[in-house]
Amino acid sequence: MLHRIFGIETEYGLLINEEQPDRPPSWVAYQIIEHLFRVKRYGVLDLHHRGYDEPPGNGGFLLNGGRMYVDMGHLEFASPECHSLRDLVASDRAGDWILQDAIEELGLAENVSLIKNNIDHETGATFGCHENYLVSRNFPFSYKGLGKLIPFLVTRQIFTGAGRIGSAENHDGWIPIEDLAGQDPLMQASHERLAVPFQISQRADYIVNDFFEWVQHNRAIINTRDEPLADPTQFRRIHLLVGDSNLSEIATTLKMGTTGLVLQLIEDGHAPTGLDFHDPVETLRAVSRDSDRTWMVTLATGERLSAIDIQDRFLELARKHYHGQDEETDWVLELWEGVLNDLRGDYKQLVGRVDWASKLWLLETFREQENLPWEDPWLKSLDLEYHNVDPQKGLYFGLVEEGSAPRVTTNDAIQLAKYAPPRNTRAFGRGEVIRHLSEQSWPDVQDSHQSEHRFPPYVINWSVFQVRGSSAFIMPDPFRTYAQEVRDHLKI
Amino acid sequence: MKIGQVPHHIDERFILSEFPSPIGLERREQPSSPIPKPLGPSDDGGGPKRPDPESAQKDNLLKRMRKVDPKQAERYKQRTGE
Repeated sequence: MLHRIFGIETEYGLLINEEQPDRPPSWVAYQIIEHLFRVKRYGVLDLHHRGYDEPPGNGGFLLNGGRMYVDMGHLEFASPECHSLRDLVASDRAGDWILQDAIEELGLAENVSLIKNNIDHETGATFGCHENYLVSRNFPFSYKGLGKLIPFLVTRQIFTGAGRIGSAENHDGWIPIEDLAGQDPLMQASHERLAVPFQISQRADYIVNDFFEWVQHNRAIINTRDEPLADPTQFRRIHLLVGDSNLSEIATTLKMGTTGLVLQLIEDGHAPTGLDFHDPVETLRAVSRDSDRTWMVTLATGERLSAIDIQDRFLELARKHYHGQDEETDWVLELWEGVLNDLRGDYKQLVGRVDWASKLWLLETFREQENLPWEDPWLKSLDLEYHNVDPQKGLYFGLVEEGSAPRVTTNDAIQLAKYAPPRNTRAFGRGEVIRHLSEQSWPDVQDSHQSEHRFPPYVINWSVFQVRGSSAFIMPDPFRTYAQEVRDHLKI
Repeated sequence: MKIGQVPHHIDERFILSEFPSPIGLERREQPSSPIPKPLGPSDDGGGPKRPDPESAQKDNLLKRMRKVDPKQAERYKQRTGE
């Protein structure tokens, strides 16, 4: 897509399916990191402190230009910088495959599953799928400019949501609200009103702000951290944490593609106006929980519109200004129009393309067969299994197997993306660095700081790297590959 | 200044925390594409564009669902992340 670099960061859940597991999921996560970097040599481990919670050995960059690491106990894969949506989908799926391969190679597959979702029904924990969009430094990074993105993000969940059974418990400090509600009839009634058997978004319950810069607390519809990981005079990185992890390749394409186009509308001054909500956070939740799926919302002006109507306004303007811009833009416009038209009818038309619709149809089919109420714990387990990245087990992959889930990439492309970076972004140059370093032997993480050198053997970041004994090499432009310059620098 | 070189006025120790400072380099897109692209927008990798779930082999899907341990959600103990 024109002037856009995309990236996705996925935090995975690890299910240890044993009654009394000896080890926590984080122990499994570190076993996998060790296997990927030391045995399979998929990349090179960091030998320096990247941050207070990222000590040496916590993870590293991969041959494909992405990163694999442990973040707050979760395995996390950050895709390489991608200039096309097909590359992005292939890279995102490659992260799943790399990890699933590791589980099988470690002999853990029987009892350990990788779950690409964003919630734990039992503990109320959430973990993210973050989106990254490179924009020009001239992007109006203000409440007024970014505010035009809010109505789009609040309503796009109708085709990007992954769906979930139930709702997240709200906590007041450490005390679940439902415990407090049990002591107060008014709170109990309020709690019951909020309970839903199924909603279309996993993250909506956890978003409490419209704008905020932090990612672990007070999560916001728009994350305002200014960390371009590139030349800050030319670029910004729009970083979003409001979205769900998608299994459907069409949903991933739509999530990133439509958001990319709406950012372009804002950059060019073409975004629709007059769509502000009085309370965007409440509207986000209300849309997610609307069991009638009419998704009617109230604007700050008092006007009532459906979420589909709001999406149509963005689509119309994107089509008016960008149709014919490039092949990928036209593809996204066509997919966008298709899902919006189908969302006006029976949700079953969206099975295979929209994750919440696929999941709801599977659960309804199972409930009908087994005569189960929504409260049955088996349904929560099926909700999780939808997100199992093992193609032999995951319910989404059952739909793929039956030919009910359209693909946008191929297994060959995913296999290649496990090792190969995109060749038209900065990831290519980084891949050259990783390939060069991975062919050499390095000291153990513990030993690397005990030598006479103050500087570790190498330091690699998104926009710069340095190998001990040579100068730092900076890569400020994510649109450049730097491939030959990197080879010259490393003398390879 | 050669691409990739560190400007003299920038402390390298600072750079390695991430790119810290403006450097004017032209933006140039590279033409090649990394991943084999047998697909066009109208030629998807598999499956119909608008599948009919009712025609799918429900038996296979139900078989896959019945294999799921009904209690596995209780064993899914995750920490909050980002």
